[in-house]
Amino acid sequence: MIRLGTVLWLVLVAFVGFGMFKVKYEVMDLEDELARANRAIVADQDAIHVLKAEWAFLGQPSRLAELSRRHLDLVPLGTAQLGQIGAIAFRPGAVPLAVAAGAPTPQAALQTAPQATPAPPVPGSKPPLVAATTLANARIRIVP
Amino acid sequence: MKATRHAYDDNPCKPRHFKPPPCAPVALDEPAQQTLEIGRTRLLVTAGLFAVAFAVIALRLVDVTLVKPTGETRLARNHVVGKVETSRADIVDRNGVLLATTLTSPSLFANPKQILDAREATKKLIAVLPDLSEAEVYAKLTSERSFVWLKRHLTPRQQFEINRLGVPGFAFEREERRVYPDGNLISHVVGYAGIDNKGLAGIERGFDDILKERKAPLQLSIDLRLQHIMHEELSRTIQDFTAIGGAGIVMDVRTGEVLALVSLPDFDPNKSSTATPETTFNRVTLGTYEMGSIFKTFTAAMALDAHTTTLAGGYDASHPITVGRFVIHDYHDLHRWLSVPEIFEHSSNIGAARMAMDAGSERFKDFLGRLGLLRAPAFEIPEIGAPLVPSPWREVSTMTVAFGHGISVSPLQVAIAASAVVNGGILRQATIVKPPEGYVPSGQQVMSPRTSEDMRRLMRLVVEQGTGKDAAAPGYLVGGKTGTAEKVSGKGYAHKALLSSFLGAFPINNPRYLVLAIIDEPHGNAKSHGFATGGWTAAPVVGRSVARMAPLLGVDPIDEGAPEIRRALVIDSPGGSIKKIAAN
Repeated sequence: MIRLGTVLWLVLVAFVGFGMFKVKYEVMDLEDELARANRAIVADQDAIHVLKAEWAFLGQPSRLAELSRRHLDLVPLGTAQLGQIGAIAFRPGAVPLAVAAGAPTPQAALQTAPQATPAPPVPGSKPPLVAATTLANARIRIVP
Repeated sequence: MKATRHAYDDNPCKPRHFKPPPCAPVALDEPAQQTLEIGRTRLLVTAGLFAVAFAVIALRLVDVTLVKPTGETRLARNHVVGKVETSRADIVDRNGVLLATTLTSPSLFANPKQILDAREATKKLIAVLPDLSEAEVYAKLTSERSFVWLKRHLTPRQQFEINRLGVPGFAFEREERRVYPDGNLISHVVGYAGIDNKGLAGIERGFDDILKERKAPLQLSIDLRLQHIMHEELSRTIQDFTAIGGAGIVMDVRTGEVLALVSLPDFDPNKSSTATPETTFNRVTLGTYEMGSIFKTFTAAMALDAHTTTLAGGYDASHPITVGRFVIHDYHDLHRWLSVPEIFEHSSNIGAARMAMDAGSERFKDFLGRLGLLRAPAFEIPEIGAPLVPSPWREVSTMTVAFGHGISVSPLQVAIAASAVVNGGILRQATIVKPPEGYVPSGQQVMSPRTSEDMRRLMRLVVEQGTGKDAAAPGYLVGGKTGTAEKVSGKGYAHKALLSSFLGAFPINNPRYLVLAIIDEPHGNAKSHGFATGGWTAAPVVGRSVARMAPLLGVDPIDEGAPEIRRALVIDSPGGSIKKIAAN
């Protein structure tokens, strides 16, 4: 009986000892990995730092301008290319066409925006934005 | 009990603990028993000692392998963990573009005493770093010292190659180096730091302590794109007119932020040791100049603010004024009475002088003082020039200062004061550090908003039909004032050495940005019909810059002919009608 107990205990001690060392070595491996990862992070941060400087160097405005001149067909933005939606003139006859088509949606839209219903806007004037969107809707619905 | 005596008992050679062989059951006598006891005790003590020693070893074994495993080595392994830290914070522009940063790189040094074969080491090193001089390296490696720099700031690849040579005596040290990716473009703004990490000019010097302490980058109000535009346009003009230098500044008139600051000629802060005094000289903040007609902006503002004249008023400019040995005459001579708008538009010196005299010296001086033109401005760049103000201030000073002679101020001062003239009369300190979003620094009301409005009308007039037509950037409503000053040479003025300038603001109906361009000693060319005045040289710089900058700044183009714009900028004065009559 005593013999069996001793053997059991010995086996148990052996297992626990084995398990403990196994866990310990796993932890050591993980710690190594962590240290490696941390070192890699620092190395990467260092690299990013250098790359940022390089990016700034490569992004010098004069260099970009030269590259753009050589490879792109772009010119600086002129004032003629800039404008406001409200300042765009309407195509003559656009509103009567939309209304005559009798599409239900523009009608409803016009009703919800009664300020847009008055006479067709004169080219060059500045109609309210609502009218522009309503008309856009109308045209999109009719064209197909 | 008496022990039997043996023959060997008397033997003198008998070992101390001799025990007779147990050949027969021996009844031990007392001394033998005692000896045996002693032996046993000694054995026990020894065994006990060994047991304790083994126990200690076992415990230590457990301690070392299980309880605190490899504590020191782990600490050592993880030592490098952390952020990349440099001893100086980065500098970035208002959009976060890097202007200055610190990089660490390995530098190669050698200990000549450890070099075994200097000739072979030299040959090997030259193979890797061919730009080194062989004789020089050999001389260094055979010197008597124990430390010689061979090459500073290597690339990682070069370091690897040198390591692979396996030459004993070569070693590396990591060194920090300040890098300015944009080179010349921001030289006078950022300045430069020396090899020992000490800021020696510009922001690097002004913010030396702060840059050393902080980790986050320092954000300037400079916009690199605008800086580039200003730099390019100024350089081109300097080249076209074979000028010796130039200066440009772009400022947000509502906050006092400096968006671009260019001084030419400039230098590469990466090679600050090769820079000459002419190139490191900051013409915008340190240089003070007699600005010429630009000053009429301040004269007119003063006269209008003091109500000594109005836009409808005028002065006689038919004859030159003679004061002592000075004769004040006009460049664009009209020989007649001129209205205030005409004086401004045609840049009449006589008219400006009379306007200032009419208001009085005290008032004029006081007004210039309020605009901060009589003392050095507060600014983050440490290279600040103090103005040269006439002392004592005589009557003739008032007359000459009225058209910008006899007083030297820095372009920065002009920009600060002119911002106040156009922004509704509020003088704000200039700054080159980006304030928090939406923060508007408090200012000082130095003139009435009404005066500012009148001045904007006058400035628009100059660009629309006066001396500054070339500053027009269609759609962006530029207003401004030209200036052409003769540079002081010796005791008099040099007629051929000019300082041509243009002070502009846009959109002038509600100014947001101010652009000041100065060309130093331009020479007329065929394109300008030989002229080198502000209207021919500096005004086009401003016009072209504004056309390129405005879309970047998000300024919407305006229809310049729109009735409400015309109404906002029209001048109700007899000037227009008189001119028409004169033209007829």
